Amino acid sequence: MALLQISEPGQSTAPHQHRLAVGIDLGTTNSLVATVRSGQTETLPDEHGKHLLPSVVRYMPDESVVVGYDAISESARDPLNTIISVKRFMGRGINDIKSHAGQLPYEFVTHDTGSKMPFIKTVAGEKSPVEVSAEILRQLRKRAENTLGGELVGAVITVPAYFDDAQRQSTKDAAQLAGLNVFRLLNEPTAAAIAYGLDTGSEGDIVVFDLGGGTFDVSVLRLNKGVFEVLATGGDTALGGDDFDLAIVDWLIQNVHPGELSREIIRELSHAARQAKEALTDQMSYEFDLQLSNGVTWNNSLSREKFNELIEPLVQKALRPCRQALRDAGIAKDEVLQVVMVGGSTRVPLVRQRVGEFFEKEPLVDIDPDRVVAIGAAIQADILAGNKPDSDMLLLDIIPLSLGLETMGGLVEKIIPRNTTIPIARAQEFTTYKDGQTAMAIHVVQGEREVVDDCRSLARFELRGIPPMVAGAARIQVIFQVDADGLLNVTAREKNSGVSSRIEVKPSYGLSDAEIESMLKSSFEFAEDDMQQRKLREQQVEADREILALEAALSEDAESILNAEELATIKEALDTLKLVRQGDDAEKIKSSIENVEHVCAFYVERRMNRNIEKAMSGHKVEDFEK
Amino acid sequence: MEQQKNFFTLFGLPQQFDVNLSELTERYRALQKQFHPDKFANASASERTLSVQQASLVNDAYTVLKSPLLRVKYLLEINGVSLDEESNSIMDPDFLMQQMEMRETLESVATTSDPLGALDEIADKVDKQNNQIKKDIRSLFLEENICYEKIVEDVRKWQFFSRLQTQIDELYIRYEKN
Repeated sequence: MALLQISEPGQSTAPHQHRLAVGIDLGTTNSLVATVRSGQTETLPDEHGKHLLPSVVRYMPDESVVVGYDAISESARDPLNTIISVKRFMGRGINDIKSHAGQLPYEFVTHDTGSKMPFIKTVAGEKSPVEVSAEILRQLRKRAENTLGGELVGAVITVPAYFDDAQRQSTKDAAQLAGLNVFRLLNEPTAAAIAYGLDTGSEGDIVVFDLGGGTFDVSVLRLNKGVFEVLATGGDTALGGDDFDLAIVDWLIQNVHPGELSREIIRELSHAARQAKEALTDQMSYEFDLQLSNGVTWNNSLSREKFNELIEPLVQKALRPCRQALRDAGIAKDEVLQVVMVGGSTRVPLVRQRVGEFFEKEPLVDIDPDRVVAIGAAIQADILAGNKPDSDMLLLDIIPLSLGLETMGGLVEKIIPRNTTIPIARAQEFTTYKDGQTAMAIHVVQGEREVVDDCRSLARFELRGIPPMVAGAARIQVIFQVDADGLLNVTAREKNSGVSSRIEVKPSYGLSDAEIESMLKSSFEFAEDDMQQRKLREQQVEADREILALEAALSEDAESILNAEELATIKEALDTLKLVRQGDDAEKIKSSIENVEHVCAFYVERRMNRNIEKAMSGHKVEDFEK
Repeated sequence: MEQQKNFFTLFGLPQQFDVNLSELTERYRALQKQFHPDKFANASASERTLSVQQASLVNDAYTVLKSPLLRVKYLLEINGVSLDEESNSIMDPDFLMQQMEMRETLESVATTSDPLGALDEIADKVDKQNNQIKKDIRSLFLEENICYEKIVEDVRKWQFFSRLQTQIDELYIRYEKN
């Protein structure tokens, strides 16, 4: 049991074998994969030496898939089957997508059965945003495995800090589809802070300003002796560099009069707008030489001054969450040690200027803003893989949006407020409002508003079988548990009778487990045989982990905290597991592992308690009473 | 796991109103370095679950002990004193009057020529009130026979000011310029 890991740093008995792990920045516009090799953290290039993988997926009539630069180059010709910026659709319902994502060329369909998730119609069939994202992740996984020469044990995947539960769950589902073991979902600004903080060794409060292609995040972190504590986070999931492009497109439409705005024309204008935006980072003016496919031509210039004017409202929009985050963190501007810029859109001069003015200090741009997130994720992945048993690093992250329940009158009762450090569990008691009521509907929402309709609906479920009682007599306890990935689990229990109901909160716009499984099966990568093999291998790994940890734990403290009888029971279970491990029956291995865990439960707890005492040793209560 | 473990003993701190914040933070970090799920990435499923529960408890305890208002409410709770938040009964009339006035002032901030200045003024008042209450509570806890009714009354007032503070903060964000 890995309790060994927490006993004494540097005494791990795990073999010193480097386990392959990666960090993945799954971006709106571009994605990256990075890893730690011989102590160096680096992003991995493709066979042409390119590090960035454009987050673009093109579906072909023969159902093959093209990802990245090859997909982007055809996007103007095949807009319907070329999915760009799919991250904007993750965990979203059809109405969110229509209102947030501007003019989209895609055809979305929803089905009444199963999830309410919108699917995109392509020549290769209907594809969910989760599947599209999985293609990008699969590509990066292959790149990493080819480069590193082996199978990955796991990955840390970054998400915008401001992602809600549905968006996080979708990301995790996509990773599962891509055959990745997710160690952790890591917030992008936190990842950047790791890369940056470990690089500079600074201590104090820092602000990470992360403006990507489609999302904006701001986080305030406190760095202290290897502990990265997120104090507050804020942002806007629908604000990014894409909006700068759109602002230029609007300006072009007003000035060029391009005629009917077909999807193709919009793509051409967007393409030109992006080029202009990028050029205006270094130049004071950009010359358009438009030759649209409908014959319209236009030659004129856009000055940086005019560009700044176009995007000023968007930049201002990003400053408001900054103010909020500072207030939430309880610190003043002059207490901020440094401001770190992340995301390609922070290359825009006006963004740097306004951020500098706002925080009254020159923002840091020395780490490549495109790569810093993947690098931070790779460092975390390396540690979680167990390659750095001596590492002192610890991340304490928070949930970005409050979690609550619908109460009478469509109001929201907050159970866990935003900016609460995770993992966290909170319970709230409710009661019945009618005599003899035997069921209660539970509606879980996320957001800051008071009214249910203004928050995001995460899930609905029903607690049934409440014994009939008079109104107000039942005591229904609802427990929210948020794990370290920021994912929510809800349990409801009637306390008098013990009737309980547990759900994994599968977001309303997520995929069901069954859907994921069938997608996994249909993916040619996981033919039936492979699936069996994979299951066996997973269980063997799990068994080895269990055996190794338990033996290490026993050798450490069996004598001091176990009596002979207890020790014998544990050893028996352990020996059975060792035996079964040699076979090829995945189910048997699994049940043997469960048996060991069951038998050892008291031992694990005993060790855990002893560790609390150890952590507090030397700090006796009496010492503090003057 | 002894889930009932008192937050103060979990952190090895004396059970009292005053808490040494730097001590608290230092121990919080020490505890999380032991129990955070990241330290169990390669552990068995049951250990991972246990670590999530344990780290959650530590986070919860830290949140409560860190905040003076939550801390005093917790002290009341473990001493078996009910705050009875539903019944907003018998409050001293002067305080109720003051409450109303402050609310009205806050609502009229938008119509003043200098909303930020007006906010500063109210924030300053709230600050003073909070400090006074804190001082009162501290000395109440130091008395030989602790009068919990008085503390409860103070806590209710404190909660009011704390809600007002939240509203003030929201307004600051609305009116603040760069």
